[in-house]
Amino acid sequence: MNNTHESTKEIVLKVSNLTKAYGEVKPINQMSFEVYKNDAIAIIGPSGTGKSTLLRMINMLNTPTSGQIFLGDEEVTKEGYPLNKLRLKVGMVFQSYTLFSHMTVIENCMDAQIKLLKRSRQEAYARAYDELNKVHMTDHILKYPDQLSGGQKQRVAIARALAMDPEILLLDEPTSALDPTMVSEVETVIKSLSKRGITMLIVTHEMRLARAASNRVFFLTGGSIYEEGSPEKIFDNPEREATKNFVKRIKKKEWLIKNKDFDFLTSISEIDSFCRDADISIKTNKAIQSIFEETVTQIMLPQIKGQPLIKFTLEYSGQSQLLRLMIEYAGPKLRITDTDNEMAKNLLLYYSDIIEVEPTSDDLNDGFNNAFELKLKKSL
Amino acid sequence: MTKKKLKKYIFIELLFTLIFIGIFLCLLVFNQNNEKGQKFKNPASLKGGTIATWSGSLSNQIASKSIEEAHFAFYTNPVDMFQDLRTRKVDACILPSYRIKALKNDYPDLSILDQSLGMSQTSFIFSDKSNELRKQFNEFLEAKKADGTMEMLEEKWFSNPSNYANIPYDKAQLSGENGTIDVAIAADAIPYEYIRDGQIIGYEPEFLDLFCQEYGYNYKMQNMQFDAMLMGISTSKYDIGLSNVEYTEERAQKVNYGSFMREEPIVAIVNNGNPYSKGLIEDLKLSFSKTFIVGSRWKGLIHGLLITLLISGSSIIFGSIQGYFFFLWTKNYPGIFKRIIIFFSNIFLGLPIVVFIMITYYILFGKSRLSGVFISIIAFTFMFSIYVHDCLHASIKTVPPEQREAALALGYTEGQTLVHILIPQALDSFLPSYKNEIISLLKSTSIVGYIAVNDLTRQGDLIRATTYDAFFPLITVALVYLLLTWIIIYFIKLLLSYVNPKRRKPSQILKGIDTNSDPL
Ligand SMILES: Nc1ncnc2c1ncn2[C@@H]1O[C@H](COP(=O)(O)OP(=O)(O)OP(=O)(O)O)[C@@H](O)[C@H]1O
Ligand SMILES: [Mg+2]
Repeated sequence: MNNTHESTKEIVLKVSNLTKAYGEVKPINQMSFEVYKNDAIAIIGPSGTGKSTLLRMINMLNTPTSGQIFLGDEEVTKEGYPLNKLRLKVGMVFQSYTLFSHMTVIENCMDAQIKLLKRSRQEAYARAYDELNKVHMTDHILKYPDQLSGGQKQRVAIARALAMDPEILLLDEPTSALDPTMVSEVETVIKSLSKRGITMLIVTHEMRLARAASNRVFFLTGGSIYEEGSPEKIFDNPEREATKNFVKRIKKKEWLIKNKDFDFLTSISEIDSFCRDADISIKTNKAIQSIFEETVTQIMLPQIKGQPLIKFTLEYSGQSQLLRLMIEYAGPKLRITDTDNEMAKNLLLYYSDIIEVEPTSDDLNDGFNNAFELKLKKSL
Repeated sequence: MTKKKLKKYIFIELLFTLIFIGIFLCLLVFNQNNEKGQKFKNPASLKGGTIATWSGSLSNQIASKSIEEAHFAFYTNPVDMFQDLRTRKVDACILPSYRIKALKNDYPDLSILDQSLGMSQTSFIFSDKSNELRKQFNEFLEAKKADGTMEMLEEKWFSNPSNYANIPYDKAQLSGENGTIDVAIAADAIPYEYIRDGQIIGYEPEFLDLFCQEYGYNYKMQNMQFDAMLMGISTSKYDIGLSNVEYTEERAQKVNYGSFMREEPIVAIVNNGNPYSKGLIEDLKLSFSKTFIVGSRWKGLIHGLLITLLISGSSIIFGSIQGYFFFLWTKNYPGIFKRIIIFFSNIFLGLPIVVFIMITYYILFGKSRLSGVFISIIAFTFMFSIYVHDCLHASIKTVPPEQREAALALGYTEGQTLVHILIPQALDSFLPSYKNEIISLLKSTSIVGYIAVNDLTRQGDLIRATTYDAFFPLITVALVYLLLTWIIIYFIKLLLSYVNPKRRKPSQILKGIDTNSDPL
């Protein structure tokens, strides 16, 4: 990892109060940050939080609604700043294959150098060859894009961008359109870029890549940088709740029961699809559905007089593979294990242990004064 | 496509053509035998029959008065009438008698009923601007009738109608000191006016010569279809019209007649079933020689071909360039300009091309005296440019949008992206539709006859009108169009393989690069 820049602190890119609005929606809202030379910044965050929008604004493929972007000392968001001049300084690699299909690999890497940087053909060839060598593609320089695998295409796309000697390289999910078998070859290349000290921003869903290739991580959500820090900090000791949920890949869903004849079947099918999404085994899935049915409809609802208020929470961490089932409810304490419904009680205890817990202060505010957790039996 | 494949392709096309010609000849032989039909003695016996007449002519009016319960079929040239009379699709043709007299030898099976149906009077016609000319013409005609010149001309051109190929004619030397007259003529009526050895001759042209000599005029003569001639005079594009124009009241409202030069009986021509065929081979030989050899008519065809090539070639070249610029323009500045182009694109979609060409010639350029060829080129260029524009847009859409973004992100400008990245990738889908547009343009040019241009199709028609024989002119014209189409298809195929980037050799891709030198 390249952490030696601290002393120099040369600012390559500065973004201040950047906002992008699509009507009411603001995927990027008042965002500010600085990128130093040799930084490799991983940008992570849930889908639809404006990561692509941010990258596309940096090379003005999308026009910001307000705010400023500086490349070195120059403000590129200023009226009349020539777009192609800006784009020469900012390299970009997209998710899908964007090699020019009518050119060979070497021409893909040479054409822009010749036409835009006015390099001689020999110079351009040498520069392209050098970059292709670094991504191990020199055996294929006379092939056309349709003769390459997805991973090879992405490596050429990276070489093509670098051959232009950009001041900063933007990568937007460079591996997410790839076959799983090809992800690692491209990841290796990206890691080598950060070792070379290439200043870059990588948007990625691959936490492995984000951790290995970056010196700083931005966690984006709600249109701004929610938490930032070193990869160790973000991935091992995130401070804030949403970051934690995201990096631990925590999935969480709640069901509120406010009515005795609530839509039981819909809730069951939602539990089923939650478990499928989280890759939870069928056996466990069925057990959770059973637990929900016995606890809520067989044991709790018959004991409640008047309108019920029950919250059933499922939480699953993809990282630790831990599953949490919580039930909170309002009103007087109910007899869960001491019920008349013997059959329901036996089934419930067959699947889980019941642990009474104190409701959190948030829950108390919402009126839930009782809570218990259901611990699935080890055998599941 | 490889050379070998191309050769095979051409071979197959030729084979199919031969097969078609074979089938055609078979049909021809089959058509020789005609059962005998009814015989007609006088116009009254035509009652209830199908009568061929010339649409809008005096004969038409007379026939409808004098034949009871007749069904009319309308024609615009006598060749088709006679052909249909021969095959008994119609029972009689009503025409001025000279139409058949000169052709007695060619149509021994057709005969004229003795009793004439009426008289037609003919003269030159004049545009509204040429009143002075008309006065001079009337004066001159009066004088010539008095001094016997008209009688002499009558004797020369009309006394021995089948001798039309040998009547002596020398074009007079004209000084032109009092100006030049624009003359429109439909030279397809022996012996009034017809083409011999590429020159327009006849009773009326000779009289025109005499008139111009007397009054110190010169003239520029343009040969065209009868309807185009009428239209040209009524819009004052031309000064005088010559085509033994019969007097009808309807026409007299649009054009001005001079005093009458001749009277001619209108007669019914019927098929009384006399044999006419000398056997297929003899017939074909005769027909061939009439179509190509006699009067060097092949020269007319060659000239027509050159006109067709000139019009379509220029329109394709200029239209492609203009279409490309339209495309760049609408691509970079959509908005009002794009709307205009879409508007025209819809117009060409909905408007028959012949109507568009006539509007351009008679209305837009109605007052100008630009030649029909020039106006055709303007009209077809514009039309073709719209097609090219549309094709380019459609084929650019076949290139994935990511290609554009990738190019922009590398620093190409919008223009460079279009030219260096998008268009090369769009060629594969552009060239085939471009080819189709070229071919359809080539075929569309066959309508320029409507605006007095003598292209290939029109030259074929002219020959047909003079020889009264349809076979060789039509077949020749068809084959020439087909041949041109094949050449275009072949050429575009060649171009497609030429622009295919994968055809290049490594040495071409790496031209001017020393691959062995140490990188950097
Ligand atoms: N042209 C547009 N018009 C309207 N809304 C848009 C447009 N482009 C993007 N958005 C919205 O902006 C938000 C951010 O989109 P963006 O593609 O930047 O998200 P992302 O973080 O890259 O998501 P992902 O991880 O799925 O790629 C989304 O909610 C999207 O619906
Ligand atoms: Mg995205």
